[in-house]
Amino acid sequence: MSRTGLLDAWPYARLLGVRLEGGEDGPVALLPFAPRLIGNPILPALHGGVVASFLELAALARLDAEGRRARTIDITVDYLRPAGPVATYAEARVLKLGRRAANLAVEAWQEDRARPVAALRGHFMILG
Amino acid sequence: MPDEPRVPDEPMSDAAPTELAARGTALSLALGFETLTDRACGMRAPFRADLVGDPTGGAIATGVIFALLDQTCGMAISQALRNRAAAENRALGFGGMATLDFRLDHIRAPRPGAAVVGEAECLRITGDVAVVRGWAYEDDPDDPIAAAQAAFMITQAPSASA
Repeated sequence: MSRTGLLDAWPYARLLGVRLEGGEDGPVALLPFAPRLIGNPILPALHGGVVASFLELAALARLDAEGRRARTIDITVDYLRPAGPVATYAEARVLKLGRRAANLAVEAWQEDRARPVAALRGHFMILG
Repeated sequence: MPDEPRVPDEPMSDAAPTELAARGTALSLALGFETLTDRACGMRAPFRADLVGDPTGGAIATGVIFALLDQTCGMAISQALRNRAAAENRALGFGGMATLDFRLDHIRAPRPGAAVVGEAECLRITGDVAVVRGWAYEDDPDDPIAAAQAAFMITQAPSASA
């Protein structure tokens, strides 16, 4: 398996600008702000689809870091606060890693880790 | 006339000032989404190399389908709000909507190289909460790629006029 990370290899991840950054307790996913990511120009706030894509990519990158290639089966995203026009961070936890499927939980935040903007729960098919 | 693109509506369009409504969301423009005129709430995500997810498969990313259906679900709510205001014979209030939760099931992988169409319908709109469902496919709505179910909070202020 190539050790080029998933976030570098997936064109859509590059388009959004998602990358991993070193955190105190291991890597966190980073989505730098860009004006094209806006969904609500009045607030302004990031597009809900961008927030979801970022959370999903953080989950897939987490599995990738464990050497597992995966495909999304289903995700549910809870939107907790408007995601403003600043950098967004996400941390993914593997709740279960089975032979065929994995369950992950991802939380995203902006300035304050204790005030998450969105949370994802999802199932991912393990491809190899 | 099938699938003729026009300037995309944005989901907040009923609430936003007119000039914003005509523009589409920054994201929908960046991803090249086109509003479809031959159905109520439909948009198409083009196939583009930079919208690919896993390069092994070469299909449009699941995240693009999420964004597409999020956008069409917003359109469906905008339309339901317009219909409700018309039925109550009043002007549309100002405000917007916020996604509470959004579930997306991926039924199968999209065909590599194919554009994806998203559609949505508003199942119920109460005072504050709208329940919507969306679905995505390439050519045949009976052969869906993905299905969405979502709840939105309506932040639109009630109109004063009756």
